[in-house]
Amino acid sequence: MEGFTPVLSTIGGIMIGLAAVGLLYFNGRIAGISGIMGGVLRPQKDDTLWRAVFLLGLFAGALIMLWLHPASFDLRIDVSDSAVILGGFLVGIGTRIGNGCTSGHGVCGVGRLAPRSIVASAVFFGFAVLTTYAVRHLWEVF
Amino acid sequence: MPGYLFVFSSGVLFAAGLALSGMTLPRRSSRSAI
Repeated sequence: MEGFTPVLSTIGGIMIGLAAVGLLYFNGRIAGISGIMGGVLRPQKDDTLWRAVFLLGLFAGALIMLWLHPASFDLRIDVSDSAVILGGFLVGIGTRIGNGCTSGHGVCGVGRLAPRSIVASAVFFGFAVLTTYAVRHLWEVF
Repeated sequence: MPGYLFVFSSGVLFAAGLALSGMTLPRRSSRSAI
């Protein structure tokens, strides 16, 4: 398997879990990135600053990792820019309709055994598999 | 302010974990799902 790094992945997963649990336990907030971002784009009184601070932390974390472990960013995207933009647009719509994304539903919701998050995660991961199979093997778009 | 410092730290930890766990994805079109 290409790029299989179970130790780093386990450490990364633990770090994501600790961040989500810590934010929920100490601040009572769900670490759902799309929801946090959405709240910044449509600011409400006394509910925007913590979101902006969390997003700043995300950027800082990415910069720190770029410095400490640049291999994490050694990515090569085979699809066109327009496909990436279209994909991001569809993800944005989907996360708004589903009221959460892979972090809010997948990490936090499933971790809390929330039924709607389990259903949401099963649906979007399932359709991600089907979409990937379709565009790469049936239609051979990418 | 300690609350905001913790929120900031959570963001840092989340992104760092994401960067490390993203290493498992295939190189050819690696995109984190989160």
